[in-house]
Amino acid sequence: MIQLITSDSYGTNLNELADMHRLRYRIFKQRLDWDVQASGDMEVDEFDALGPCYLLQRSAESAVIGCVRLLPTTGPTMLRDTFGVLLDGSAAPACPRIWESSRFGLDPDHAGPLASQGIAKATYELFAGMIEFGLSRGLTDIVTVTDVLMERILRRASWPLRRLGEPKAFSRSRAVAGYLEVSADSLERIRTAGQLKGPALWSPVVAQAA
Amino acid sequence: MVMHRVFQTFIDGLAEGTDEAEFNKAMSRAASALELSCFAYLCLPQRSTENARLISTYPVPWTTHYLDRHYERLDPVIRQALQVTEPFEWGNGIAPAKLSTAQHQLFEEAASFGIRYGFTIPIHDGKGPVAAVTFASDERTQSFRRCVEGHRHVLQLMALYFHANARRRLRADRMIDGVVLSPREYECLEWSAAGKSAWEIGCILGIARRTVTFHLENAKAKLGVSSLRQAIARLAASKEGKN
Repeated sequence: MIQLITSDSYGTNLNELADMHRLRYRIFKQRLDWDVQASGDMEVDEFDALGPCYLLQRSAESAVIGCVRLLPTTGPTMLRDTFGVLLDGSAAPACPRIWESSRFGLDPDHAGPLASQGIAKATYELFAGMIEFGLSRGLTDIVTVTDVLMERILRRASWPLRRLGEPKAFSRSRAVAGYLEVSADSLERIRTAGQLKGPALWSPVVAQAA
Repeated sequence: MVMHRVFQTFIDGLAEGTDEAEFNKAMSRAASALELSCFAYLCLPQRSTENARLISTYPVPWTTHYLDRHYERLDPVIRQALQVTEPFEWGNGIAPAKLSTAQHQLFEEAASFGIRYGFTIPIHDGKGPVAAVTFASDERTQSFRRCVEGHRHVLQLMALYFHANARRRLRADRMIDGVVLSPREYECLEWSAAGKSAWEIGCILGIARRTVTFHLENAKAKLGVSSLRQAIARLAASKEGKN
């Protein structure tokens, strides 16, 4: 199940936000050893100050086991401000119908069962959540900076990345920027490959009514 | 529920903040809602030519005295914040254990300004310490302890969001010839330089055309120019200078 948190509901989702920043610390600081800002067991960066939308993956026990951050490309983006070199000289996208995803991560200890192509069902679910979010906002594409390993997973999952430039060495991996298609077709492909029965996004109706 | 509202108000306050005074207000409002009497945010300079940034509700005579004497080099709390990434409590009888005579005196002076106990949240990046947020009190009251123990993760999140917002919104890169534009003013001017009309900018940023014109007028007034073309030229010249 994927939960959407927007900037006007950070307060009501305070504990989920804290859990997400803890998950990001475990993934990006402890596991991947990125040069990120942290305090104690939480990771937060300057892009979190822009009121992004977050998709959180919750386990059956409601723990936060996956996350991704989404920001409109009409404002500051990681691609424009941090990874501009990946654009091979062209301009970063700045368009209301393209948003950027970043800090995509899944808790390796809670990967759960696999679907097709040796990819966890949880991964497909988070991909589907991104497309559903995109469709609900009338987006055509999600732009992202990722590495060549993730690019391979995306291709196997049948959600291929359309490259914006050639991969380049960044710390210990090879980073690459590109577009991910937001469409009913791409959603259908992910649902089929991930053996997902219905929508991944869940709206917390009960929480809103309370 | 109360905590949810405090946090949302805090986040909204930061999102709208464009200067240190507004940031100060957002944090002090949240701190007093949580019955924490005062706070201090210290951001260490990234380059040796820059000054440390201090945003706090500590008594001004104390912060002035503190900065004049460069107490940040001596302060045991700062020393500890430089070494550990975990938030910690300090004050009479609580660590840090061994104090020099000078450090004892520093604590006594702080106490005379009502700063006796605190909870400090250090922020580090891959290279080392970058900032610290402290919530302080003159007494280690029940409510202070309850808040620090019960809402530790909220205080940690508030510190991290405060720092992220300060880095994002209080930066010198919106400075043109010594004039700092607000994020919206700068944003509108940048789009304007990219050839967009006020109406188009409004669509892109999701604000009214009128609001765009308002921000552009402000930017022109701040820069002391009469036409948009001149403002765009000043922006281009300042970008040229920074590269």
